[in-house]
Amino acid sequence: MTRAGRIFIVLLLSGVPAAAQDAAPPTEHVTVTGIKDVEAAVTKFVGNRTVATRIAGKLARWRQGVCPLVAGLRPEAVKLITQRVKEVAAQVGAPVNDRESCKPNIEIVFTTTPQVLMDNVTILYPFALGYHDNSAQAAQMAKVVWPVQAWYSTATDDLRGNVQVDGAKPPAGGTVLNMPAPPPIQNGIDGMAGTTLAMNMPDAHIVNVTGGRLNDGVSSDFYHIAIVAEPAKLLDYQIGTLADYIALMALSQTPPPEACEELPTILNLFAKGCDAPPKTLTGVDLAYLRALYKMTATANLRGQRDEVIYQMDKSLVSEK
Amino acid sequence: MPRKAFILAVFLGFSALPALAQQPAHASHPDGSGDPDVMTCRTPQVPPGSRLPGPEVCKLNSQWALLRKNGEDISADGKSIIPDPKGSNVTPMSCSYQGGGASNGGQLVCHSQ
Repeated sequence: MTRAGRIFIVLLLSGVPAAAQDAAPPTEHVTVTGIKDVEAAVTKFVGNRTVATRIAGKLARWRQGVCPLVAGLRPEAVKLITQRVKEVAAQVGAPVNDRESCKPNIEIVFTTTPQVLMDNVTILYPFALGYHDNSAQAAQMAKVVWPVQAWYSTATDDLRGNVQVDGAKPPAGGTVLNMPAPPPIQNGIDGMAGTTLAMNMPDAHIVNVTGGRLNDGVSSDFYHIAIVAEPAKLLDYQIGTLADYIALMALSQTPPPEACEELPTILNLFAKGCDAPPKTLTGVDLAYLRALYKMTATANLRGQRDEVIYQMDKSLVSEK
Repeated sequence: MPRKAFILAVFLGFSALPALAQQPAHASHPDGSGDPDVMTCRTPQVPPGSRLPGPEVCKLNSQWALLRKNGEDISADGKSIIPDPKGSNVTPMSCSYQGGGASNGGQLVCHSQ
């Protein structure tokens, strides 16, 4: 196993108390140049770049304080990336764990053999790939296709505050649902009337919800994020640029675009067809992250996206 | 109307259910052949410098297949990945992805050659 593989420590975070979120940061206005219809571009950006979690179907964000761990670089670079992730988190209203000895929940690994690392993660810590139903999905998810790539493990937080890691096995025994026996089918066959049937569901989790459609009381949190980078493919990039790109990936589940995104975003860094992608987090990126950490965590997906769009529209102003 | 908690059972891992229903297979050196989503357990091995055997190591066949493809094994204590000590003696495996579509890469299926 490679050194990077050994460093890839997966820690259980269930015992870490959720850091209370501070008051939402003030809205900053950013002028976007060169785009006629900023609102349409924002709607498209949010529609294309946000991902719903598989279990709760919500946008995930950090509820516990972020605690990044960087491995595979010289100490100065490690410090720079760690600080930048925490700095951006504080700037956009994400919780930060400031303790020196905090348990890492964002692991950023620079390795010359990213696929070997992810193969080993598939074998030893498959949950770190993110939710998957079977080994075919796991194999697909473990494929390294970007010079810097992130894998998101999420948890579902229900109405009563119970947190369950998405895809984790339920407690031993699973769930048993007692149901009344069906009525007799034909004359003379009524032996089960008045009795109950126990339905054993070994893989079922119990989630408490409000029953409301707009806000069911359930939210999605990040549980663990693994970010793997291949230094050989990043020789043309400044460490500060990479730190900003990593910060965006570490605070939101935002898949990078294949082709250049219309709005100026650091996500364009590795996209095809982008002449001069931004080298730092842009006003759009920060507006997006602020909106993500401001939205109602328990609203339904459509409501969450609408809130993010509304907040971004408020901050982004088109140049007249 | 006061909030009322409803119980919603979320079903996870449907495909794994048949696998869970049956006892996992055992082998001294699982090669990953067979159904990729079925669990196979390696019988306990004695770690170097120890008299007591380590734990039984249970993995999906797809995970054993990935290990063999990369010439690796799980250590006797079950905690880390090591080069496969029996790698040179094992019959070579032929692995390929079968099925799959636009959003699914298919299943890694391995057979002894």
